[in-house]
Amino acid sequence: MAVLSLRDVTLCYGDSGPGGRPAVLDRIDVEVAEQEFVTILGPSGCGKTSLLRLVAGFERANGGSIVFDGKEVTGPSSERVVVFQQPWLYPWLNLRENVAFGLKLQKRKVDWQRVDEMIATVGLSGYEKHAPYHLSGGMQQRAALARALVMEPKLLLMDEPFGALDAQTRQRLQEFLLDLWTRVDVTVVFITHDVEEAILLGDRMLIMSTSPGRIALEQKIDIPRPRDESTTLSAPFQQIRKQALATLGRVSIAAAGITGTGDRSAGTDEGGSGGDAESGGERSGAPSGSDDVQVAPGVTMDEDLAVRGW
Amino acid sequence: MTQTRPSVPSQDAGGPLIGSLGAPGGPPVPGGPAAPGGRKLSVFERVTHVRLTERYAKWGRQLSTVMVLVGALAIWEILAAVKVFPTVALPSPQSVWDSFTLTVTKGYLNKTMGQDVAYSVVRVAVGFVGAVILGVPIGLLMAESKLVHRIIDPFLQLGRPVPPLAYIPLFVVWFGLGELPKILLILVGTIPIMIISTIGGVRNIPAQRYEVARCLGAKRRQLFLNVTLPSTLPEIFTGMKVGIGIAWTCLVAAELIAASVGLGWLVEQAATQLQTGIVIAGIIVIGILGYLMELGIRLLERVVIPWRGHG
Repeated sequence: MAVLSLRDVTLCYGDSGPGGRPAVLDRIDVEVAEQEFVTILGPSGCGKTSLLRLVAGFERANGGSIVFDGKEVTGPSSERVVVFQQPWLYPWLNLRENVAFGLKLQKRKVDWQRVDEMIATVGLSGYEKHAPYHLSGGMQQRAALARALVMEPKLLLMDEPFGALDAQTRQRLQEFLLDLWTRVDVTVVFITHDVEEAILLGDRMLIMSTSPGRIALEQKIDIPRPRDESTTLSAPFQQIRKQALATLGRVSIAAAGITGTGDRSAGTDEGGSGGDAESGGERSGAPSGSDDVQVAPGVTMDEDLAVRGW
Repeated sequence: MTQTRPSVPSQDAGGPLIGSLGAPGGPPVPGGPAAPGGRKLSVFERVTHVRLTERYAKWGRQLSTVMVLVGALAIWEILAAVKVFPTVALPSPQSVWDSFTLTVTKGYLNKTMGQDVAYSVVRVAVGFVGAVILGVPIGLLMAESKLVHRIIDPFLQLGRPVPPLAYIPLFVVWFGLGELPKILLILVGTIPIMIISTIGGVRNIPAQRYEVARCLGAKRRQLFLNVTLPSTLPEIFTGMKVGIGIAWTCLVAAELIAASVGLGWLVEQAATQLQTGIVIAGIIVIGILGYLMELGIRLLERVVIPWRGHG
């Protein structure tokens, strides 16, 4: 049933491994079911990106096996597409050509209708001819998502895809992804260092520890969908988050220099628990309404302005 | 800093970020840091408190260049008029102009200025285009293959410190005084910069550009065509802009020493006969042509890679 299974996956770089520094990844066992949305949470340097790169096939593990769809992973494949933290659109191609990039590589005639449908799905209709650098960061990241999804991959690997965006754009894109997820059949492995993002998006959350990189906690997230930003205020969400933060705190203490990450997310919380409740109350209505707006080709106001304002 | 973006009206209207300091029509604020469009204020604007639109500011910059040149011309005229230097050393601008028109219409030593320019330009064009056509693929091969790099790199490292002019006597011995040695000199002088900038361009490609393509199913050849080649173009153009200057330098040097037509030859011949007016006219023409060539490459660059500097 598992579409992706990692068994005893171990990764060492140079001086790490037996006798040296602890392994980057130490005997990782993970199973991902078809159509599942798994989030992997961990402090920076815990090897979560390395784990994703192994699954993508960019690198080979030193030990263990990674089996995807019944076959051992030996290299990159368009069945396992990665969305990076930066969009990495090609500046010499316009938006439409960027989205069609993977299809063009397959040497079959590009189904432009499919490309345009995917552009509409991510809400970028009307921007097909734009150069990517004339789009806002959020729009670029949605274009990168469209470029991945148009390949109809079985597995979508997302490496902190919203990590480089400002808080508001990030929130909008999280809700956008939640909504998109209900319309597209794809298995997702989503890497993040943001606790709330990990809980909000995932069916299941894995928390990783540093040095050696191990799975410290596996948490099923039974919060019903559809979810949106207001979900973060619900009791089950808060409970899971508390547990996740406790685990993260434990994990961070073990690794020196990582405490900052844990502190930051904990700090935002404490500030938010009192003051955020009211503003969150306002928000709880707005985002669910704007959810529909997000899907429509018309982009939200400030993004639109960001384009024209260039 | 001529790379200016279209000014954004909404940015000024938006107010709070910039403040009302640079607002058009508003009262001039001493020390207000930004003019409309967010650029720095020019000297003129800071002194007069008059805010210029971007268009006028651009004209202003061009005007200042013209004024500097006119000023230099005036100083030259004065120096020549009061005869600070003997006339044979520094003829007046007028007499240089006369020498120039005479060389254009009647010619000098049986060659008109037009012929000299044509020969020089064709030599540079052939040599430079040859250097690009050979240098870019060599650079790409060296970047892609360790073996090729190991074979060619020693020659590159040893050949680079040698001034191209040092090859002239050897080339004259080998190839005589025809067109071939001059073009070869330009080639030898320009190829290293083309190879090195191409290699640099390939080496500087972010790994993610490749990874995006690889996870979308790109094979090695497709990576080369779809990622390596376009990604390398900006540095190739940088190499070309430097290279055209080197090519021009090599050409004039070659013509000074071994030629019977061309701008370098003209300057050299005129100097031996103390025709200083022709010498100065020739030097100015060399300067203008070199500048125009670089300008041509800049224009080509804007057409071929309008995305330069983005992502």
